[in-house]
Amino acid sequence: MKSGSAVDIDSVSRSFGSVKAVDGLSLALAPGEIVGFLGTNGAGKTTTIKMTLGLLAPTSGTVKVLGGDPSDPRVRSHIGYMPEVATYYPYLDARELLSFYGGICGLDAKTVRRRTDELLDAVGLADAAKRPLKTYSKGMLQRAGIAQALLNDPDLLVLDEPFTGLDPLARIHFRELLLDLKRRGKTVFFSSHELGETELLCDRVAIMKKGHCVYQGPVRDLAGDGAANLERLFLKTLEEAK
Amino acid sequence: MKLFLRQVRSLVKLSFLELWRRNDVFALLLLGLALMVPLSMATPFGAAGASRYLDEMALLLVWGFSLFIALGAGQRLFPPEFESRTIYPLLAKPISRGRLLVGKYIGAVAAAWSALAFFYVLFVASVLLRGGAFAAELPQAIVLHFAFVALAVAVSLLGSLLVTASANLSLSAIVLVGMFFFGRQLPEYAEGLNPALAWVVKAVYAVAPHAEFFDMRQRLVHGWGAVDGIVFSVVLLYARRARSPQEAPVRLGATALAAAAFAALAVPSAMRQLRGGDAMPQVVKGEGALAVAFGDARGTISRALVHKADTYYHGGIDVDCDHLGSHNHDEHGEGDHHVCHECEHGHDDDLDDHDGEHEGKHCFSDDPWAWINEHVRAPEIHRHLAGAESVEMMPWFWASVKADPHNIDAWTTAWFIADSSMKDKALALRVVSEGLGRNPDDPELLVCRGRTFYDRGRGDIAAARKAFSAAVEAADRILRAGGDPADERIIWARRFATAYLDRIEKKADSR
Ligand SMILES: Nc1ncnc2c1ncn2[C@@H]1O[C@H](COP(=O)(O)OP(=O)(O)OP(=O)(O)O)[C@@H](O)[C@H]1O
Ligand SMILES: [Mg+2]
Repeated sequence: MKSGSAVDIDSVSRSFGSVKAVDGLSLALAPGEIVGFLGTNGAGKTTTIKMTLGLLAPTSGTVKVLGGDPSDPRVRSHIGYMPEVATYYPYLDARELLSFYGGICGLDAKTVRRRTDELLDAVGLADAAKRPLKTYSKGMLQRAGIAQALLNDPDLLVLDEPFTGLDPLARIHFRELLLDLKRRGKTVFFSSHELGETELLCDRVAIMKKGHCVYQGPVRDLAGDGAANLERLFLKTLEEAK
Repeated sequence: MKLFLRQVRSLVKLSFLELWRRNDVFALLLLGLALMVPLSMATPFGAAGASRYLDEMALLLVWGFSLFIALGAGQRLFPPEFESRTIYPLLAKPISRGRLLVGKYIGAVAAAWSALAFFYVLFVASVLLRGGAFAAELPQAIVLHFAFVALAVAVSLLGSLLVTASANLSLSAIVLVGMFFFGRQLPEYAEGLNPALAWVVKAVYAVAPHAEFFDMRQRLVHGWGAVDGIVFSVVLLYARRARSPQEAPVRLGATALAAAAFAALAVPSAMRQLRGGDAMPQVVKGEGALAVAFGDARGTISRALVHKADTYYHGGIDVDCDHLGSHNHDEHGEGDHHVCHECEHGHDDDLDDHDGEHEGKHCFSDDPWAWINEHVRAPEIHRHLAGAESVEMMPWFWASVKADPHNIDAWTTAWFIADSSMKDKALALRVVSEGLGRNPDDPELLVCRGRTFYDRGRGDIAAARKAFSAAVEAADRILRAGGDPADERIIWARRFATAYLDRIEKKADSR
């Protein structure tokens, strides 16, 4: 593996029966990088993300994260993960949810309380913190998901479609939050269908199509000429990959 | 280790919050109160003072509720996580899959235990409110019940990973409830089956989770005293082993076998029933099948309740369990006191005089499970209810005649206990009057009334004579109306009444 990579995906394939969800993907993330993971529906983004967390084992190839194997809990203690869709425990409130995950991360009670206060503020759930999650809107649940991913102050943040359901204000806020993490040397790997957000945030993008990576590189490489830049890149790459 | 403790604490809290916020416990509590409060105010035949039936019903409810809670808690550990997809963020946290499984199990057990503790607090409070007291067996009974709950959570947790929720809940409940009530009788049951089925039943007996080991209800209700320390430890050890990851899958396999075996057993006998034979003549006579079925069920329930009272008489011992299925009363012999016509043979006196006649251990064969059952579920001494204590039986008779008011056995046995055991003439007469209210001119009940009035020649002789004469007339009327002349009850009642009338005439003559 390349020494010092935050994520090193090396010729990884994963099949579900006859479906090749990911086929020979290689992708490396340097520490402090923000990488956007794009692609059509069913291209293999979520599958790849699950493999970087040890939730799925590759059929072939290797995945190294922060220099270790993601199936090792000690490695995962430095990762934060936010899933695509999750209906968090409906009978808990946001504070209890974070305190639950804090305990699972092995944080002590004091740290959990401090981080919970910080994060509820950061994702704008402080006012709703005492309400059961079953009363939350989709975007509010999404915010709770962001908060739980950040609980252990991770070195690597893996987010599966984090912008879905967030209102414009929350997006701006969330973008700031990610850029701040980057400034602190954290690595962010996120999948998205929001090309605008991705372009504003990312150092690099990887574009998937039917299990293959069809483009990897900086957005700005392809002579930038305005806001619709990534959209053109996206369409062009997919077109060429036919 | 510290990390694991924090994780477990989190999982315990999660299960706790879920259980107590679901309101299951409170719903069960309301259900329990709705059943127990009217029950506790019941004065069967106007007789107050019975309390064992309340303890028994309350304990049955606590057991049922705890099973419900435990199975639910085990079932809810993983499937909902998959449904809501929270399993992914959970597994992405720094916890290994093994630890997550163990931690979640501990959480569910702790939550179910909290509910059980709550129920026991209420149970103890209700007993103390009634002025009862507890002996040494209570802590033991509670500990074994807690161990059972841990086992039940394990069973349903394992099942939840293999089959759908409803399949798991019903299968786990069938196995645990089945074993709880019939587990110790499986070897005897196997004897009557063909070799293949017998083998299956014996295999189930060997490996299925023996819920019945943990059942100290009868000890509590009838005050048998504590279980031997060694046996107690063996049962706890059994609970510990039975839910280990190595053994639990085997037990679940046995669970599936049990279901298959039950099905294999039930289908042929159900077919036989349906094909008729003796079972259906009433239907042919034109009665609705539903009425027949319902009537049958009432009769069966009513008889079972008399049997329950009988068990109380024997201090909580089921004396019938060595001739399972074939309730052949000829086998009863000396120990039997039941109905009036058997009391003829010198059982008029104190019922207490055949203490120790039955051997409490006769239900069990000699395998290790039977050894445990013998020590947990059979008392060291066999005591009979006597005197005023016999009122403990009354609620069961009362329930029995409510189920089937034409169950003459129930009326006469209740009368016998009131008259001979409790020596409560007023109660005995009230039982007979109520019985006659539902069964006008029943010769047996008239004889019972006569005997209470007669009171060994010291009572209201005129009233006794009137009742005996009425009994003879009633018997004759029945025979004239085409009653079966070989009907033992009528013959007996008539003979008995005539004998008493003779005695009364002689006394009158000699004066
Ligand atoms: N558990 C599974 N069993 C079978 N097939 C699966 C499974 N998970 C994913 N797949 C298949 O793998 C392929 C990739 O799916 P994946 O979820 O990784 O796509 P995606 O890029 O995240 O799509 P989207 O943008 O819609 O989220 C799809 O064809 C999907 O049907
Ligand atoms: Mg996806």
